[in-house]
Amino acid sequence: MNSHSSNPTESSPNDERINELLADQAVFGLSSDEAHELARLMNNRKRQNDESFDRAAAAIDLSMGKVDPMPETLSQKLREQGLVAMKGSSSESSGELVNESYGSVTPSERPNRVNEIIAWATAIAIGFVALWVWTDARATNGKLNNQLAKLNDRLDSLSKDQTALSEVKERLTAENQALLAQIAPNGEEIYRTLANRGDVIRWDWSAVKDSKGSGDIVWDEESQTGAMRLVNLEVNDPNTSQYQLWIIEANGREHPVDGGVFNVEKDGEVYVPIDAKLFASTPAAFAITKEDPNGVVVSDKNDLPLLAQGPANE
Amino acid sequence: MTAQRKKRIPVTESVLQRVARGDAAAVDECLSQFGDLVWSIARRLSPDNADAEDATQEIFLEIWKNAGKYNPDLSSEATFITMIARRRLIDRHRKSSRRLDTVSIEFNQDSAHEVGKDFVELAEEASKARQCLEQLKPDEKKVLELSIFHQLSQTKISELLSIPLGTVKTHARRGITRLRDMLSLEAVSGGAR
Repeated sequence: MNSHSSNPTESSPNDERINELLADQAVFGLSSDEAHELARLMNNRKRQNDESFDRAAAAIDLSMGKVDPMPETLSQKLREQGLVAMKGSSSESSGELVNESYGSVTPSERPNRVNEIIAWATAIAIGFVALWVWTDARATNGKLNNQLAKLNDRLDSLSKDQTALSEVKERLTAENQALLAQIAPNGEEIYRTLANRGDVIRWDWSAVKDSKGSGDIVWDEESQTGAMRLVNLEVNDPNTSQYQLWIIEANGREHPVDGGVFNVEKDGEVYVPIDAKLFASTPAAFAITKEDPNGVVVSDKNDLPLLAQGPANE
Repeated sequence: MTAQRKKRIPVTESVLQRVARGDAAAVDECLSQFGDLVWSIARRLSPDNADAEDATQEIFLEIWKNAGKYNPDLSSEATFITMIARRRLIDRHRKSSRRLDTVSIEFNQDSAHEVGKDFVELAEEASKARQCLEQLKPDEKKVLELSIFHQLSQTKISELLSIPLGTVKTHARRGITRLRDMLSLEAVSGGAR
């Protein structure tokens, strides 16, 4: 990996971080800290503003939504707002194309000099009124801006508190899970408790294709507990892949129930408790797949080393 | 007597380009073509109708201000406008104490198929995005749907799918990056905008 380089043409870890932040911005938005970080990194790397992620997110949004008609009252407000906005912009530019019309001019019967004086007097009066309105509005505007700035600061502060609380919650949840793991019966205890009972499922694992591995699985549908005994299943590197158990129900439900993600840390015999994420009705089979770290919601079943089926399904 | 001066009008000039020039007639056209789109997005991603109306007005103010930045070589007008709308709505959500997560939102597989015309007819990129979305891994696709279409937070998605927060981020980043790359490849290979 390249060390940080000030040469904008070379790739650096900062480019990766920039892309992460651009992706986050397009999907979730950024906190003010993240936005500052992105601006600083973009400036350091001399990168132009990149809206490609935003365009991709917009395209996804467009691909999924339905159009509903806008309320007429809102439409009218927007029309007026738009016309006000247009009045502020200039239509004059070389080569630009516009359809203009000029109003008709009717000669006045008053002498030109009097007309001129009246016109000047009116302009000066309007000017004074405009100045008065402008200074008054500026003062009010200033007060409102101050109030708005204070409110925004408060909101930023609350947003940071919310982030901090989320982090604490995440840490406590992780600690809670660690504690639960300590007091919960381990896989071998569960296996031995169930294995000798006659009223639970106990099926042997079959290796699929060139896979290695054997053992059996026990499952008690009533208590929704069970465990796997795995023999000589290949040790996995959790940073690149993990095993995941699937409970395939006999009722024909489209997606099997996730039975938990686990690692095999040693050769020989290992015991793994089953951790069903949803209630699993009577199984027709159990399958172990190899997936990306942390498992998946739906498996593509490309790497399925072990399968256990009931007697009727063999 | 009315003097009228007519100049040539370029055939390919878009509504947004005309808005940028200050063409008042383009305002009506812009509202006709994209008003319902902006309203639909704002309504979907706002807690209630009143909030959605405020958001829609803010979005159109941004559109009038930024119409000059529209580049037809990079996207369709519908995509550009959707981009502005999403940015505004994400900003509003981050600042608002009434987060969409805390409002009773029915996460429904069919929520993308309510009565109404498809957005996808408005932009060719949308049709391509739909195809590219199908090529993503199911987890990446699901996270993007929940975050982009339903604007659920990372924490909410993590709870809903029972996956760690870090995994939500990874899926979102990988998914949007792959989608961006696929859409870029489509453009380069001549999939006309």
